[in-house]
Amino acid sequence: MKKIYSLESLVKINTYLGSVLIFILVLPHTNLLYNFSFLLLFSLAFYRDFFRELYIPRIFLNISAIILLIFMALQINISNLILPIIETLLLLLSLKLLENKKFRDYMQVYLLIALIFAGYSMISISMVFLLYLLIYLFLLNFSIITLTYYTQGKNLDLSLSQIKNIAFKSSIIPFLAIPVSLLLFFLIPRTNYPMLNILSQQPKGKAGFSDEVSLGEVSSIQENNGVAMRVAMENIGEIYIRGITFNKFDGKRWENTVPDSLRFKREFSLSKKITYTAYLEPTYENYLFTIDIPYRVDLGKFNKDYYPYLRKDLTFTTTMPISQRVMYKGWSILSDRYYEETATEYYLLLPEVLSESVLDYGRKLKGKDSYETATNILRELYRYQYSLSDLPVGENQVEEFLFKKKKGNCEYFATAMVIMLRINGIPSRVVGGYKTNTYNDIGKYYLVKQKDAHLWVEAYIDNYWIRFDPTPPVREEVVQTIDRPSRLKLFFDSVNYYYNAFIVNYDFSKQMSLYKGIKERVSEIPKITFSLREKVPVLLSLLSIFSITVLILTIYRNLRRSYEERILNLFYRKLKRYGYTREKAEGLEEFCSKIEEEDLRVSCLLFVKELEKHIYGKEKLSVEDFRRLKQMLGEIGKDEKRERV
Amino acid sequence: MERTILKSVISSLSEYVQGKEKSIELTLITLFSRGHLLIEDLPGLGKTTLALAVAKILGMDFGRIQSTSDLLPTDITGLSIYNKNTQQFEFYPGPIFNNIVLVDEINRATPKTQSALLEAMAEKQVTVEGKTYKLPRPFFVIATQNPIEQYGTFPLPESQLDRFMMKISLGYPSRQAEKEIIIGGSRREVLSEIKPILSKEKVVEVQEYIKDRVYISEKVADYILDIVWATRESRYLDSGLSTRGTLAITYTAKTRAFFEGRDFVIPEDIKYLSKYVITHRVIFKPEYENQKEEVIRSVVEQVPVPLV
Repeated sequence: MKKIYSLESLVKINTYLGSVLIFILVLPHTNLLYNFSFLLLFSLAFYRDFFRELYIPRIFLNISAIILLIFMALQINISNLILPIIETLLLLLSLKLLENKKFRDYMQVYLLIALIFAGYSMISISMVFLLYLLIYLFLLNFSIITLTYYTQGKNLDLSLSQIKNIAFKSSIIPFLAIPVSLLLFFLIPRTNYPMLNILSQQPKGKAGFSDEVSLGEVSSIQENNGVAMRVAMENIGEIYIRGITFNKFDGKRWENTVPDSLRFKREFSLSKKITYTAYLEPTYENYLFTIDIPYRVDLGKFNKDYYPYLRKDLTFTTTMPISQRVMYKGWSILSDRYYEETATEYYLLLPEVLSESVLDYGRKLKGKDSYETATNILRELYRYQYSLSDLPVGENQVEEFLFKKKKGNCEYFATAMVIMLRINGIPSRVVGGYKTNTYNDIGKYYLVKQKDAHLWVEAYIDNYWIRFDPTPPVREEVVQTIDRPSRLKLFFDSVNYYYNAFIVNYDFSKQMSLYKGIKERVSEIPKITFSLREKVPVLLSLLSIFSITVLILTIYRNLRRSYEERILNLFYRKLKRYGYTREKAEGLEEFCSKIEEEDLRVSCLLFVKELEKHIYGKEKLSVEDFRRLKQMLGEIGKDEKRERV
Repeated sequence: MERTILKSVISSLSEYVQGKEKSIELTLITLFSRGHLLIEDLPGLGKTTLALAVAKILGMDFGRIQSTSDLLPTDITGLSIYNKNTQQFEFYPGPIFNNIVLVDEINRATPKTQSALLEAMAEKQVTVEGKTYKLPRPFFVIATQNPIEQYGTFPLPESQLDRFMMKISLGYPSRQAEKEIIIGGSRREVLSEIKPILSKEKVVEVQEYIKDRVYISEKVADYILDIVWATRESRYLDSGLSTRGTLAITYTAKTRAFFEGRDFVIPEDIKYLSKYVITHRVIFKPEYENQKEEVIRSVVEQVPVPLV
C-alpha cells in the first residue's frame, strides 16, 4: 500500500517546526518567564492539534494578547527596545497556535515567526542567523505553498513522492532569492557606512590624529566635516576630549617619546564623576578618545580585539587599530587638573634650533611662581589672532607665528605656550583631541566632528597636571561657522545615531552588555518608568497565574465531556489518519460510506452502528460501553497494519 | 421479527418489477407509514405492475380507478341502488373500498372528484348519502400523474399535493432490466402467481409497531425541526414545510429506521427520504422551479447533523 500523508498534518507539522526553531533561536536571550509560558502554551497547542481536540475559550486568547501588548508597551524604552518586542511576539505566536487555525491564522503564524526572526537579527550577530535564514527561506516557503494546497481541499492527501515534488519545486524560489538575501545579510544591517551620510557632504581633508602632528596639520583635519564620534551623556557645556599627548617638538613636528617604563603615582578626587557612552567612528589608529580627565574605559569584555590600554600620559589606546565603529563606556572626572608624581625630564625638551628672540620673549613672561608664569603666557597669547588660513610657514614656524604673522590656529598657540613654559623650566606637554559644545538634544549626545579637532596644553605645576588652553576663545565662533549643524541636520544625525546605537551591531559585546546591562540601565531611566518597571515581576506573575488558571479550567472542562463526545473525537482522529474528515452536515453512516478502503469501511460502519445506538437510541453510553467501543475502535485498521508489516 | 420478512418482500418484489428496488422500498415505506404515494411519471413504466405486485405480496385487495374528466365522485366511493326485492337502498361500494387503490392519471379527474378522493384518503372513510362507511385497513392509495400532458388536465394544487406522503418517479428501467423484459416478456401475467408473504392484519401490526416503538431522540427531533425551519427560511422557497410535512418526515424516517433494522431514527433516515418527502410540499420561487431537487438537497445539506 502506498503511504499517504494528510495535507492538514503536513501544514501543522510545518507550522510547529517553524515555531520550535524560532523559540530555540531566541531562547538564550528572552526572559525565563516568557520562555516558560511559551513552552506551556506551545505544548498545549501541540497536544490540541495532534492528540485531542480541546475547547479553549477564545476570550482567553484575546484577553491574553491584549494584556501582553499593554505589558510590552510598559517595558519598552530606547535602551531596551528589541527584547520586549521579541518576547511579546513569542507569546503571541504561542497564543496563535492555540487557536483554531484557518488560512489567515497560519499566515499570521508565519508572519510572527518572520518578525521574531527579524528581531533576532538585531540582538545577535551569531552565524546561526545565516543557517536559520537558509532554513527559514525554505521552510516558510514550503509551508506557504502547502498551505495554499490545503485551502484548495482540506482533505487532500499526498504521497511521499508528491510531497518531495512540491518541496523541490517550491525551493527554486528561495534558491534564486538566496544570493540577494546573502547580500542583504552582509551589507545592510551590519554596514559601518553611515546610511544617512548623503544628507551631509562627503568628508574631505585629513581624518583624525596620528602619532605625529606637524604644525598646520590640525587645520587640515579641521577642514574635514565628517563625524569623529558621538558621546552619549548629559549636556555639561563645553567638553575637552582627550586622545593623544606629545612631549617632543623638533621645530616642525610633535611626537611622543615618553617610554612605557616611566614610573608614576596618580590620584584622582572622584568628586565630579561622569559616565558616558562613546561611539567612535573608525580612525585606523589606536587612540580611544575620552572626556578629559578620564580614569576608566570599558570596551566590554567580549571584544578581545579592542582591549583598552592605559598609557603613562593618561590616554587610552587599543591593541589594534580601530577599523570599525566601536562603542565603549567611559568614566571621567570633570576637572582641569589631576595629581601625579612622575619624572619630568621628557617634558622639558626644547627644540635644538631655537632663536634668541624666542628665548627672550619667553623669559620676559616669567612670573612669581610657575602658575603666574603660565597665566602670563596665556594672557600674552590671547592677543594673537586665531585663523585657519594663511598660517605661518617656513623654516622656523614658531618664530614666524610669534613675531611676523601673529596669527594661527590651535597648534601654533599650544606649541608656543609649551615652548615658553619649558623656557621657564615648567614641564609641559601638548594634548591632542577635540573640543566641542555641539549637543544634540534629541538624541542626548555630543556630536563631535573632525572640525572640532583641537590641541591644548598641560603644565606640570606642584605635582598637578593642569590644563591650559592658549587658543583664543574666538576659536569657538570660528569653528562653529565652518559647518554649523542646522536643526534638521541634527535631527537626521539623531536618526543616524539611533540606527548606529541599536540596529548596527558594533560587536557581540554590545548586545551582551545590552542584555546583561538591563538592570544597570534601570537607574538611568526616569522615575515614572522606574516605578512601572518595579512592578514588572508582579504583573508577570499575575499573568502567569491567570494563564495557569485558565489552563486548569480548560483541562477540567475537557475531562468533563461526555463519553459520546470523547469516543467520537477518538473516532474522528482515527479516520483523519486515513484522510477522512466528517462534514458538519454528514451523518456518521454517511461519513463511513465515503471510505474507499473496503475493510476499513465495513469495520467503521460496524462501529458507527454500535455507537449510534447510544447517540440516537434510548441507551445512554455507560463506562463499559465506552470501553467496549474504544476497544472496537482500536481494532479498526489493525489487520491492515499487520499486513503492511 | 418482521424485518427479515420485509427484506424478503423487497427482494422477491424486485424479481417481478425489474430494476425498481428503490421505488419498491419507497412505496413500502409510504405504506407502512400509513401514507399515500404519488407517482409522477410517463405512462407505461410499470406503475400498475408495481401497485399490483405490492398488493399481492402483502396479501391485500387491489382496486383501480382510471381517471377521466367525466369521472364522478360516486364512481370512486360507490353508490346506493334501490333493491326492488328488499325495497331498500343498498350500498354498492366503489373501487376505493380496497386495501390498495391505484388512481391512474389523477390530474385528469375534475377537481370535484379529486377532492372526494383526497378527502377519503385523509379521513379513511367515505360518506355517501348521509351514511359513513369505514374504509378497510390498511388503506393505501397510489396515484399517478403524467407530468408532460397538460391539455385538459386539472393539476393538483399544492395544498392537495401535501396529502401525499411521498412523491416519487419511477424513471426508465436500466438497459439490463429492459433487455430482460424483451427476452422474458412482461411479468404482468406472472404477478397472479405471487404468494402473499404478509397478511392485512400483519401489515397493520407492523404499522402500529413502527408508530409506537421506533424511537426518535430529542436530537433527531431537533434535526427535523432544523430542516423544517431551513425550508421555511430558505431564500429559494416561497413557502416551506407545513406541520403535516414535519409529521410526514417523522413517520417516514421511523419506517425507514425500521426497515434498516433499527428501533431508533438516525439523521441519515431523514436525509435519505428528504427528496421524496419535502420536494412536493414546498413552493419554489419561479426562478428555481427547474432545480427543485438540487435546491432541497442543498437546503438539507446546510443543516448540521447533531451528535452530542
